[in-house]
Amino acid sequence: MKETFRQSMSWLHTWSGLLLGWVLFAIFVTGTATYFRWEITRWMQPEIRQTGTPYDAARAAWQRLDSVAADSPQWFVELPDGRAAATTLFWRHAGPGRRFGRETLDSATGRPVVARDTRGGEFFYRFHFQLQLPHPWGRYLAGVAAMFMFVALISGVITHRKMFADFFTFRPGRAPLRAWLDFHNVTAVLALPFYFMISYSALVIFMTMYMPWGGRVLAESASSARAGRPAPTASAWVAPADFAPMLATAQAAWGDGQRALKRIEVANRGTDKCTVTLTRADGPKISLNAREQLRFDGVSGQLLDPPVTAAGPGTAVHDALYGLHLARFAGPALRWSFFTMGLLGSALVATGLVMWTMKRRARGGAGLALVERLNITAIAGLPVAIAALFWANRLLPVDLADRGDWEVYGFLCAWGFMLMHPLVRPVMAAWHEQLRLGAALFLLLPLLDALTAGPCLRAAWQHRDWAHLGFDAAMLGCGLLLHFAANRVHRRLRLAATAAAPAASAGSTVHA
Amino acid sequence: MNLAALLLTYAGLLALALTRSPYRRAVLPREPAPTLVRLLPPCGWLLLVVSACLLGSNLGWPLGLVTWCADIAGGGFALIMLLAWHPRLTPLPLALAAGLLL
Repeated sequence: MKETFRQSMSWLHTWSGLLLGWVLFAIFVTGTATYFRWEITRWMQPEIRQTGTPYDAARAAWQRLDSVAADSPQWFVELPDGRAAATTLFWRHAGPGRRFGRETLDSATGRPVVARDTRGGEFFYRFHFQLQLPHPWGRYLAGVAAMFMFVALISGVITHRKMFADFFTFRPGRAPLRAWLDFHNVTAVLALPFYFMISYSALVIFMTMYMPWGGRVLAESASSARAGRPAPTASAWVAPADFAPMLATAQAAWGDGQRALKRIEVANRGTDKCTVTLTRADGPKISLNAREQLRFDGVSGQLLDPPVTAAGPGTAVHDALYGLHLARFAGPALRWSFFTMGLLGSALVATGLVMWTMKRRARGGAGLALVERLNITAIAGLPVAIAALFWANRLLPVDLADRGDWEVYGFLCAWGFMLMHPLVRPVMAAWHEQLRLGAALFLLLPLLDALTAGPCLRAAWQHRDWAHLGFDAAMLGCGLLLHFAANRVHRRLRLAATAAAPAASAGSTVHA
Repeated sequence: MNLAALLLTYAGLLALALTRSPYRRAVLPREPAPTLVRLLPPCGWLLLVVSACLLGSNLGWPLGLVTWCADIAGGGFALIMLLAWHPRLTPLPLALAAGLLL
């Protein structure tokens, strides 16, 4: 072999990073936003305000479901918890097929909310692993991107010669490529455990989807073992037990504090196998299987013994990695730390993509032109698209049909424009204009919020609702970041212009 | 308590950065005694270990170690940005955090 091991690893790092880098950047940014999923929803639905305890909301939800989904075999309720303000109901429609109803309740009145229709933070959560693509292709693409990231991480660690000696090295004054490489290394090494965890756990979360064979074999052996049992027969409707005592049990066990009742699930309604499961809000435990639950017999109302789960070490590792990825265990301070590491990861991907073009700019070519334009759309265009989503949330008429979908169209249209724009503009000018546009949209967002949702903003201030106020502050922060980035590009543009001007005048004198 | 751990992490990273002479020249008014310089690496590592132990005993080891990694990323990023642009201000976060704690 002519090349050294490190050279071939460097090659692998370059191309595994580039090939899905744009997708990876979008996944990183939306995933970072997802850490504040419920706070984003609250900003996007400023009309909803939490009042009362989760137990009041649970009673209201139960009443509501009794009237709209009395014959449903399955109910599912998510309750407000200080982060999420609304109560969300799901129920499975009676009859064959898997059709679900969904409603959001105002936790104060127990009636369906009178609020703008929006996807809220769910949009970022879904986009993070489905990328607005038809099922299951988004999840497959996200999986491939996670795999490529994992490969890029390992090959990057091998390529980076002096990982610890250069731990603190960042020289912004040096030659551009050197400074960019420094920054790439700094963002990579600082949060390296986070990147390994996030890309590996991403693969583990969907592992039964990416590698279904083992599970299939298990399911086949299980179904052949179950074949002897008689099929359940349709029987008369069995009336479910009264809910109030179950709720009282939960309230006595968990209290009204931060970690109160969070979820209610009623399974097999109308049969004698009906169960009611009450789940407590997530605590500071990492693993997802650490959830505290109370299970009741849905017919007699008796408290059932906790299920004996024969979870092996594999399941334990899976649940711990899943929990780490979602970071629901994180309190506000740690959540901001995760958010920061997410931003560092986005910067890592972005600097890698830009460096690919910097190294090849002298050579030119069609590939370079394509990558440069896609970089602009992916890195500078995505913030514009996200800002467009928030602007659409405030500007679209409240009673527009399918309003939530229109917000997403706003996002996609804005991103589409950002894809077209670099085709008609010089590269550096396109960078500058898109960054500047993104900065302006984010910086003006709090103003727009005050103009279009003034009463809600005032109420948020009176109630010290930090979700709403913090969101506006974070938008100013994003705007300032983009503003500084735009300023740096602008300086480069000016330098290039002043360098080109004497050259041009010198050229003209020669011709004269 | 978690702020104290972040403070210790930052101090540890700063001590490790100061083992290299360019950073010493940028941060400190004058070169310290060679004995002091030789003490910097063990001190830095010790501070990092102490902050990990503090978080581990306070939050439990799983959550403690996750928080420690996050502190290294956050504190380290702040330190590196300060070293690059305002090296004289690198002890400032220590003073601020200590002021908050006392």
